[in-house]
Amino acid sequence: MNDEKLALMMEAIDPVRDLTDETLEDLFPHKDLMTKIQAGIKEPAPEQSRVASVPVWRRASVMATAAALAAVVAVGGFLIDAATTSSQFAVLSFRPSGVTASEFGGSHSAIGTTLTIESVVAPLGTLYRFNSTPTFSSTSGAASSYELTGPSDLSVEVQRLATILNVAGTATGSDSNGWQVGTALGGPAVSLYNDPSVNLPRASYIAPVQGNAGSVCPIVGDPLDTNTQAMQTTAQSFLTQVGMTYTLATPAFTAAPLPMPLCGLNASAQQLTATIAASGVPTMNLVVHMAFNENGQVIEADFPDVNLPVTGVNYPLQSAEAAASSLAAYESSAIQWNANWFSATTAVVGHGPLSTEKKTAPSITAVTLNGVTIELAATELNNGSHWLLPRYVFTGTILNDSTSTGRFLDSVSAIEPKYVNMPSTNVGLPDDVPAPPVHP
Amino acid sequence: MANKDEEFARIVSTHRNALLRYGLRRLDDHSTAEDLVADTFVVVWRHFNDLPQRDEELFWLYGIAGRVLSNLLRSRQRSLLLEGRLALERELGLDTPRYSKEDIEELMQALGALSPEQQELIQLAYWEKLSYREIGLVIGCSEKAGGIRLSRTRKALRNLLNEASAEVTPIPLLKKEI
Repeated sequence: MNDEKLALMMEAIDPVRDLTDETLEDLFPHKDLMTKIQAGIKEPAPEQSRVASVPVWRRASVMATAAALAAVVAVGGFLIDAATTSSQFAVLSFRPSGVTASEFGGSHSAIGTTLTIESVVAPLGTLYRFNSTPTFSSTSGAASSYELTGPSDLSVEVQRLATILNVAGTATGSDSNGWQVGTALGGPAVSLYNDPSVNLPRASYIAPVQGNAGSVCPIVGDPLDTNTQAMQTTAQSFLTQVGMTYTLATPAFTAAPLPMPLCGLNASAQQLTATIAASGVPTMNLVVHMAFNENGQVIEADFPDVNLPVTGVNYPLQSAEAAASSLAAYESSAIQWNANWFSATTAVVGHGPLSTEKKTAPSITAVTLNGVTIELAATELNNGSHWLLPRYVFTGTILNDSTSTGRFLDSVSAIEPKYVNMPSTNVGLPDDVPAPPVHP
Repeated sequence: MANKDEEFARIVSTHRNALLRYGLRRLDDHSTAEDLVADTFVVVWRHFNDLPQRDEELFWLYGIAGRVLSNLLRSRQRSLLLEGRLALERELGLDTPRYSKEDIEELMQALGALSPEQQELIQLAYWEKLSYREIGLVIGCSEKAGGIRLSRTRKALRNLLNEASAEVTPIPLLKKEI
C-alpha cells in the first residue's frame, strides 16, 4: 500500500470525518463543557484532589437525585429542551453495536447472553482506600431487569394523551423536536418529546389556566400541604389515567415557585417529584414531576411515557461485596487491588495513571462505605433497546486526614459481570503535563 | 494580556472542537470524549504558567490530552478495535464503498499491531493532519526527530500491511469484554 492510498484509507476510517463544527456545538453545548471544566477546576490540585473528593459532575452523572432531576424538570420547559437537544441523538451513530437486537431480544431468556451497554455511569476516576468495614446487611440482593418500550409513533401517542386529558387540537411538531397538542401559553396542552438523558419519550401536560373549575393560577406562597398522601394518590391516578403502568417510588414534596404562562413570576404550587418504581424497586433516572393547585388537582405533569412490563428478567446478581470491589477494580495497576478488602480493616486499592513514564505513587481517596441499596437504572443497550437494570448504590464518607469532607456516592451494576459488557470509561487526571515547546 | 479567566475562556473556545474531535477519534462514546476534553482543560488551568505561545497551544493541548487519554484506555488496541468496527460500519454503509471490507480489516489489524506510541503518531499525522514540526511539539521532540519517528512508523505499518496482504487473519471486531 503506498502512502497516498494509506492517507486516503486513514481518512476513510476517520470516525469524525463528517463531523462539522456546528454538529459539535450541538453535541457538546459549550455551557455543559464549561460546567464540567469548572467543576474540575474547583477540585483541589491533583495531589489533593483524589484525597479530598471526587469530581462533582461525575457524581452528578452517577446519581441524579430526585431533587436535582426535579430542578431539571421544572426548568425543562415545554418542548424547549427537546428542540435544543434533539440533535444529540445523532451521537448514537458513534456507538459500538456489538450485540444485535436478535441476539438479545429474541426470547428475553437472557441467561447466558452477554449484554453490551451503551450508556453507563462512568466509574469514578480516583484512587480509593476503604479504611473500615462496611455493612451491607440491608442489601436484598434481588431485583429483576425490565425491558422498557415506548410508543412507536409519537404523533399518535400525543394525540392519544390529548384525548384522555381533554386537550383539543391536532398534533403538530416532529419526532426530532417533539409533538404537541394545544398551546402551552395558557393551556391546556400536552406534548411528547425525547428525554435526551435516557433517550426515551417523555410527556408533559399543562392544565388550562382558566376555564375548567379549579384550574387557576396557583396561590403565591403556598405552605407545603401536609396531606402529601393525597397528592401521591392523585399523581398515581393521573398516571394510570394516561395509561402508564409503573408506580411511584417514595416521592419528595415541595411548595415551590412554578413558572406558568399567564400567571406571572410569583406563582407557587405544591409539587411532587418521584422516580418510578418496578416491583417496589426504585429507579435512578426516570422521574415523574407534578404540580397541584390549591384544590389538589394536577396543573402540570411531566412523566416518562414508557411501558413497564409486569414481570422482568431475573439476571443473576453479583454480591454487593463483589460490586463494591469493582468500584476500584478499574486500572488497578498503580496499587495492587486487594480482593479481600471487604474483610480487612484497611486495604488500599487504586487505579492511577497508566503512563509508563509516571513512577510516583498515586494519591489516594479515603472512603468509608457505610451503606448500599439496590436501584434500577434506565439503560440503553447497543441494540437500541431500553432496560431497567439493577445497580448497587453505595454511599459513604470521603475522608481527608480524619476529617469528613464529603459524601461518597457511586453505583455499580448488580448483574453478574459476565452478563454485562461495559465499556471502560475510567478517567484520571495526569499529574504531569508535557513540557512546553522549547525554542532554540 | 487578558486576565487568567478571559485567557482561559479564549483557549477553551478556540480549541474545544479540535480536542473533541481528538477524543471522539480515540474513544468509543461521546460522553467519555467530553470528559477527556474537560479534564484536559482542567490540567491546562492548573498549569497555566506553562502555556506556550498561541500558535503552539493546540499541540501542547494534544500532548496533555494524550496523557489524559492514557488514563482512559487500558490499551489502544481496544480503542482501535472499536474504531475498526465503526469504520467498517460506516464504509460498508455507503452506497458505493470505496474500500473493501478486507482492505479496512487489513489496515485496522496493522494499526492494532503497532505500539500505542506508533498508533498515536499515525493518528496525529493522518487524522489531526499535523506536520513533522507539530508532531514534535505534541510528543516533545524536535521536528527532525518527529519526522524520523513518523517515517519509521509508516514503514512499519506498510510492512505489516504487506504481511497482512499475504496472509489475511480476520480482525476480532466484536468488542472485547472488560
